[in-house]
Amino acid sequence: MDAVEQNIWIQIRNKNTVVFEKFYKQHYRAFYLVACKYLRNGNEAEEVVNDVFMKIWEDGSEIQIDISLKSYIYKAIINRCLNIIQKSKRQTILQTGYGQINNEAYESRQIEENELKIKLFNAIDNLPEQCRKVFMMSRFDDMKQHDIANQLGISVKTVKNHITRALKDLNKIIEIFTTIFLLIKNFLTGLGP
Amino acid sequence: MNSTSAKNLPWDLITGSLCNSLSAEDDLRLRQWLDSDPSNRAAYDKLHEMWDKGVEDYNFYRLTDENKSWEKLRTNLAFENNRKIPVHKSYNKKFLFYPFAAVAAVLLIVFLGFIYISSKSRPAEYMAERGEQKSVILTDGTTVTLMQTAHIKLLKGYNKENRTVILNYGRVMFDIAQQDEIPFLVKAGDITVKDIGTTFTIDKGSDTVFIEVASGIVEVSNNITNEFRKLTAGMSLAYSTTSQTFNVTGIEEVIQDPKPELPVFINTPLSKVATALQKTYGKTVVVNDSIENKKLTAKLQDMEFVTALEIICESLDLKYTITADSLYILGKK
Repeated sequence: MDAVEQNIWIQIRNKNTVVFEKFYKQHYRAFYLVACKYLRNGNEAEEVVNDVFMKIWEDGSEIQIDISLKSYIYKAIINRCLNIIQKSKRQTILQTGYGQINNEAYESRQIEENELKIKLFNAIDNLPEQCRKVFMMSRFDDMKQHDIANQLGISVKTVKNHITRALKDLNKIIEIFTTIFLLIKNFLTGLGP
Repeated sequence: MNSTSAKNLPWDLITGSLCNSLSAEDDLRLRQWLDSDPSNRAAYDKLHEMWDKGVEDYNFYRLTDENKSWEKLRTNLAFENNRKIPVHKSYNKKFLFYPFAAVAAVLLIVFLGFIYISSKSRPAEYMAERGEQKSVILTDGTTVTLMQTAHIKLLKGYNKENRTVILNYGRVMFDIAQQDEIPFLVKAGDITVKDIGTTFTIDKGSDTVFIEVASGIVEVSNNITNEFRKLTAGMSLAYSTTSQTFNVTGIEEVIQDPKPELPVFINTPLSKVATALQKTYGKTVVVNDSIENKKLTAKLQDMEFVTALEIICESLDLKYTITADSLYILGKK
């Protein structure tokens, strides 16, 4: 655990609510997204994240964290999600696909992928308003470019330009992380049977 | 030099492909580009995966709020902390409960009274947060659905002296409860929309207002120019605050009338006029490409087919010809 995280963990164990709140708010979305990936339900995901945080608050003095506070929380969230899935016996494919998390490298990759998602979503948030609107209507509302143009009172060409601008911005984010992913992939390949 | 750097990607083709809007010709161009170099395929696949899977959880992301989630957690933590506060042994816990309960009850009554008085004096406002869709049932039974960031305000005296809603911003769907005594109005900047028994959607942006009618009839008036339009089911209107002009599209469909009747045409493209003529009279009308987008405004009910066709030609300076197999072809004179 690095010095900053170690200090945060000590403060949380000493019931420092200010540090705890700051840490929660800083990382909540990343943890929430991981839970959503498994549960596909926002309310359940929020509950899982809050349960884990309540646990580390209440039982902080009894918990031993060796590697990283964030990794510990990620692992706790993923395991709780898998338990929920197992209990509800839904999405057998998901259960088979993910299994139990014992592989540190797998966890590390999950965290990295999640961090990339956050960066992508921040990039979407930071798009100019009209550009983001057009991107959302195209990607999430499945609207045709012609319909978007009609609704917003702009040309189809402008719609295309907005979507292209969004793709270029998101592509920049991916390119930054591609090198990291390749390194992790090579490392995991080396670990395989 | 990296042939697949961002600058070298055929963005127009990639955007079209991801949005499923490529023509056959462009699709071929894209495939040729993909086949020309393996790194092109790799770059495209990366973008496709990002578009498909990479951002699929954005809806979860934008619907959550770490501050609200924190409040839920903090409430639970506070509850947990209170349980750990030691109570002096000489006090009976039950004895302590009643004074606290009484104080809480008084505070609750005062709070509710405050809310009630406030609601009386201040006009109601509703707003949907980013990523949120909110449905509200107003006191007259009208259902209002606000899309993200939409903001409406009810005029003072709503459902008593008026049924007027002010749309400040955003996209809102209205399902109006029938009430003949007080008309339902929506004010959106320069324009006022009057309901005549409808379900419709209004989207107010910074320089446009877009209205779409799902059922019933609305009357849209421009408060500055006193111009008005009547919209029926399936019709839509775009108003530009810059040019202060209306642009109406769609044709009126009279569903209840058992006999097919020509609808009223208001700025209706000729291609749609031809469809309406065919539906009403059973005659095939073909419109030449060069005049497809010409727009007609006319009322042609209770006319013979040929008379209607002649009026259309007269209005738009066109002519029609009849082929051997009874096709009526509209074209330029």
